[in-house]
Amino acid sequence: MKNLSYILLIASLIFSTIQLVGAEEPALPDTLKEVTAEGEWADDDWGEAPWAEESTQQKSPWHGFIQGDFGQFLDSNNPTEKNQSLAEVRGRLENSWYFGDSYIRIKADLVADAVTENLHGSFREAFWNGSPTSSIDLRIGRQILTWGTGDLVFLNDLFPKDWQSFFAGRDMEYLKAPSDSIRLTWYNNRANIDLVWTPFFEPDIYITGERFSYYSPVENAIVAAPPELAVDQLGNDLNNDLGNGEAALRLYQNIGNYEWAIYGYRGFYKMPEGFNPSSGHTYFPRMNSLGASLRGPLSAGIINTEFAYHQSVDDKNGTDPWIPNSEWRFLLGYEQELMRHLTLGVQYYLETISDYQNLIESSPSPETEPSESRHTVTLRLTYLTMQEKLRWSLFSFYSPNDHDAYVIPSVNYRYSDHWSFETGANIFMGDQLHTFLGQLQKNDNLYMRATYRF
Amino acid sequence: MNKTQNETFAREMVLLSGKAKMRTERKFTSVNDRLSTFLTPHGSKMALVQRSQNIFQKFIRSIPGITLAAWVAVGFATISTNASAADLTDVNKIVNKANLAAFYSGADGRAETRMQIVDSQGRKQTRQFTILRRDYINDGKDGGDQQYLVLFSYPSDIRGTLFLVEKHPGGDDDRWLYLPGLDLVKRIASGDKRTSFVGSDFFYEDVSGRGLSEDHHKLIETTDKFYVVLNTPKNPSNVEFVNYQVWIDKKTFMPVKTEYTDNAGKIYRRIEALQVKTIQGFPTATRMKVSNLRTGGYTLNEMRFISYDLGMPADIFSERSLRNPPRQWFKRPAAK
Repeated sequence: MKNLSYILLIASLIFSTIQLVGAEEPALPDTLKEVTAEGEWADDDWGEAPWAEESTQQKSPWHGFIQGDFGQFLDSNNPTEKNQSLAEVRGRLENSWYFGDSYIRIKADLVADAVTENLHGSFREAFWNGSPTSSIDLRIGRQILTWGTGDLVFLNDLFPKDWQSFFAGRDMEYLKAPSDSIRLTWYNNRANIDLVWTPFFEPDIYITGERFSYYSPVENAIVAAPPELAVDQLGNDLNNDLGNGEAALRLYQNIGNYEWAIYGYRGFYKMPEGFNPSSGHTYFPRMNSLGASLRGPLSAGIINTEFAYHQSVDDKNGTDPWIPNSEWRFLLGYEQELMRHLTLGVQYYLETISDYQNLIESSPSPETEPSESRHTVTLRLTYLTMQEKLRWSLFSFYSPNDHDAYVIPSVNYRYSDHWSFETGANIFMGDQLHTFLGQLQKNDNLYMRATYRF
Repeated sequence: MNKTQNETFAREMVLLSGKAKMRTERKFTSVNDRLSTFLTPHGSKMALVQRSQNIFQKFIRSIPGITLAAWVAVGFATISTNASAADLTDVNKIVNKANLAAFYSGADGRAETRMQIVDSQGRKQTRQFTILRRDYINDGKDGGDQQYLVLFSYPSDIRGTLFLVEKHPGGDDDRWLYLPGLDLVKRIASGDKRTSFVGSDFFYEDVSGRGLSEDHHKLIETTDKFYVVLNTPKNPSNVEFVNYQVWIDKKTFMPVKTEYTDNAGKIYRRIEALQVKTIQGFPTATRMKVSNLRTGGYTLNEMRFISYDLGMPADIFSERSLRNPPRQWFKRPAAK
């Protein structure tokens, strides 16, 4: 019987070998030869990506970029001192050093800035990261921190943002400013816990009048530096002012393919929204926040929703006109690929002021107070062409009740693995001077950027 | 001889042989074992898959009290239809095996990959990344859900970017992208899987596989080396092709060439496996080329430092790994 089956197999082989071979039949791939550098597969032909160089190897070389940014204001009536929103050359160096499972990472920038007329170096990241236990990650030092579900809308992400970079059109990574923080993450089956302690308050990089103009309620006009916005900074003496730090908490987990999260924050308004009428200075009032988010697939896209309650600690019933009232924030967003290479994202964002009546009754200038609810709709369109080397992007904020808007069109061209170029604009519109985006309306700018990466 | 005739013949042979059912079944098992060993000379999971799914075995078992003589009859019947006895005739089995060979080798796997993207003017771009892949074995079916974690290392603008995928064949995948510069975990709409993977001529679907249930499959030819399968989409509006034809290596079940035809009847896209190496018993396409025949552009894809069955835990495919890529698994294994 065994012999019979062998005969069958041999017979079948003979049958199959004599069968005619189709004209389009491919050659069997080379299964015999060892991988050798040959033809276009040769190592030399792959440019600067030799196999030996891997991010995961023990020693990693220095990486970074050199970047030139130039931005021009479009409105000649802008009261800023300079006509340029950007004129700088930036160098970046980064590296990581591994010690078993832990590592140290450094990202350092050196900027020659013609708008502020100075040369300054700074660490964008400089931290140690390790895992004291198998379920805990610890990151200590200067780091970039992000959470929440909004697209350029932040409800529970109260980590510092650099609005000057964003409005000027610097590379998007500069929207997030670094924090000197300790981040502890505990992973477990019920809910992962993220705890971030920032011993010294890290405010946003806000509009001071130096690079961009803004609306001053005192002068009831759009103003710019000099003088810069007078801001009383928080005491940052660790011995005396330990309470001036920030603590942020996130609990998060997945249920099926939906991600939920609960957020808490204890700290301060990230922009100097308080006003001291006796000194004429602004300052950072205390603020606590609580919120939650949910994100997951819906139809062919991703839906996200998030809310937050920002409690104004020093003005809980909203009767102090110099301190912002507590506020509810709500977000609903959806993103989907409309057609090949074209993605659409839409968001509805609501901010509602608590105890609004108290604010209006106590305000010395009720007519320039913000409206009780600010509705904002955002739209993102991204279109990729030329093997994704050319990226067309449009992002816009529009508030139908405050009648103001902010539109950011941009085109990014990735010429090679090293060179990329971007140009775009930041256009602000508003019927009134005092609204959130309307106050920036003289800052319309056009920017361009060239980057060489290595 | 059609199937009914075969069965009648088989029953007659049973009566003639008069042997005990148990004993003969054991013999069939041993013959079929040898047959599958012949098909896959390397003792591997694929051999196991074939053993359990062998068409002859299933056919024979569907007939009560069958004997080896009956199997012989069936075998001759197959040969008389002008195909090899070892050939599969069920196209679903063929495409299933091809899917397993191309995307499901081992329970998990790691590979360093680089792509060279060449446009119609000969301008080149490079992408270099390490892929970790893990199959959900506990769902009881191979060819099912998988997890992918991709860490980019070159060029420098995407260095440190990670891509996490929970693949659900037949449904929408869950995909996340981590942008280290912003510390941003971005969820990506699964949407169209037939869009470029990181700017290359490869589509997402070419990297992680196309759901078998999305096409009608037809075995149009069995040559001495290949099963040639024509695939027609069940929902043509979802895809840019009218159909695609795959040449599947009969020995390894590796899809060696795939050609896509547009509605003008022209072949406009081709994927080729240009080098297949056997790694830990699994045939693996280590060099692939995707050609865009309309523009003349193409992408070369080469994989090295491949290993399978490393015992990856499920929890490394998580948000934790996006912020802290698990070096234990991404690290290139020491040379053996």
